[in-house]
Amino acid sequence: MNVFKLILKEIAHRKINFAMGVVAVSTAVALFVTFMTSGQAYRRETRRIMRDMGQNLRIIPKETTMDEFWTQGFSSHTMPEDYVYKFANLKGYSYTHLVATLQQSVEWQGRTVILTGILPEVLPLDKRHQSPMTFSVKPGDAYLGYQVASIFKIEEGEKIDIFDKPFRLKKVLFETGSKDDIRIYGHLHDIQKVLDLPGQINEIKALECLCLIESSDKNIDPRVLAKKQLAEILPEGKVILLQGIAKIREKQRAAMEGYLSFIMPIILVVCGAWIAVLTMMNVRDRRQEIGIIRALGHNSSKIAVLFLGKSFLIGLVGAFIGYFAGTAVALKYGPEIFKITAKAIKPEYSLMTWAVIVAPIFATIASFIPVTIAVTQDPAETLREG
Amino acid sequence: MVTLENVAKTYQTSRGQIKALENINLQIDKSEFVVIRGPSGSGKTTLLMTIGTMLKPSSGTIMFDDTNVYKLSVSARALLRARNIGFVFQMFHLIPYLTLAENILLVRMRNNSKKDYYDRAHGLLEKLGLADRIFHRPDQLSAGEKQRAAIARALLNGPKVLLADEPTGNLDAENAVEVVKHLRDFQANGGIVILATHGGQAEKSANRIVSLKKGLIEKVEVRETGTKT
Repeated sequence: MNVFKLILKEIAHRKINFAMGVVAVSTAVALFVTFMTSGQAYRRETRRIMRDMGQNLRIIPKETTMDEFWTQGFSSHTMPEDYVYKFANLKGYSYTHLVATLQQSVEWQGRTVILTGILPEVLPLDKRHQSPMTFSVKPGDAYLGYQVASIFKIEEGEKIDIFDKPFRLKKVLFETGSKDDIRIYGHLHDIQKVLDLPGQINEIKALECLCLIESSDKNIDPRVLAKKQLAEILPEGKVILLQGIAKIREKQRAAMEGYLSFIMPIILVVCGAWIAVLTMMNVRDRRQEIGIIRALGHNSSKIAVLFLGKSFLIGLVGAFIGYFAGTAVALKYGPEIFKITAKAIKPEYSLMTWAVIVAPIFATIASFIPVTIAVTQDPAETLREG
Repeated sequence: MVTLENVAKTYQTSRGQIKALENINLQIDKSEFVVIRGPSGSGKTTLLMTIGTMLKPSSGTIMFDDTNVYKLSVSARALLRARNIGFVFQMFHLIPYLTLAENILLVRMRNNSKKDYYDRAHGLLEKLGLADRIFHRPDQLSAGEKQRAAIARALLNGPKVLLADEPTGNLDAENAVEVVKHLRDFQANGGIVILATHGGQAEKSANRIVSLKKGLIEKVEVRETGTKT
């Protein structure tokens, strides 16, 4: 009887031992494959974001001169408020936060303040559960920047008049050391009334905005495409793209890979120890079998091949199961996580090659010490045990 | 011919040295049926394993014909064992996941003809009354059938020496007689049988009974009842 057949017969006889070994290897391989397959998608997504427009997007009135905008921090022109709803309903754009504001610098009680009207944040349909980026101001309420509240010694709960419109001071904000300290925030519609600019805003901020629109011309820069499309839909608006998100994503990716490089060795050590323990148990179970095989005149190498061959098979079967399980998990959940590159998430066949080569070798090495014990144990002693 | 000269075996344990065998001198010729008798712990199994090239003595020599077996390399010794020595144990030691045929064919040497082995295995199983059990696993056999299967396995390579350690210890009287009969058949065909036992049925077949006590040969009885050719 050849050794391979003997190994298969033994596996069929001690199914649980074999199954537990396969579970160990396939778990390790599945985790690795899932991480790597999604990691590939993540890398693709990051590249795509960097290439395309993974940025904060600001839409301001078309007439705005940029030197004024950057000096002042807002535009002195306005555009229709319904642009925010038009943008929210646009197909081909993904964002995490969408905020419309109306800001004007005004003199109030002898001091310069920035009146800021905020529309409650418009959240994408699939992210309604997430926290808004900024506070939401109810009609009739006002939030005061730290400096304004300090100068006028106004406390929370007091009533204030802003250009003859009464507000209740809901909250005094913490000191920020920025222009925000001289802001008076109100609901957009309240501030529109105060400034006599009904239905007007002067900025839309779309954060983590990604352009998902496809063009027949693959060479066209999606940013150019987006600007062109937005100019048609929002004719009184002008689009400014701010770099940033892609770099953050890149950092996240590096962090994720760092985490992976930390967790994978732990998984491998646990898996290796598991296989070693299982092989040790197998050796103990088969002490007399080893003894009789030796008594029948077979040498140590045949005993070693019996055990190492079994470990190799555990690694091989575990590699296949783990690869398909890991790929299935990545294909099932990857597209939900990486929406942009969802279509690009596909089985990484190169990982199967690696799994099929590395896992059996790894399993064989992991069982090396128990096998050494198996081949060096005294057959006379094991046979004497009865 | 098997010759033991001044064989001693000492085990090192946490409680000190244990002398399992001491000053053993024996010469066993072709067609001899030797019974090694003694109480538990007298060194019977150690002596069998030492003769069977499985346990190197602490001192002394064991010659197999003209070969000093423990001067051989481990692999050469394994080969000598496979070709010349058969083992039969009290607990049968059949591999539980193999059929009777597979258990027996486990002894097949790689360079020998597969067909010859199958024919020999079949012949042996028929002779031992196991032809209808060839595809049964050990757990489907009775104790007597298991022991006969173990004898078939021991005989497949055509050994010169059969070492049997309490081969009837787990059998009823009827099966014990049958097992001893097969051992005698082997002896009658020129083989050497060395059988370790507490006593009983097998002694009647012995040419020689070697009594062991605390690792030493206490007494050697030569009998006429054995079949010597």
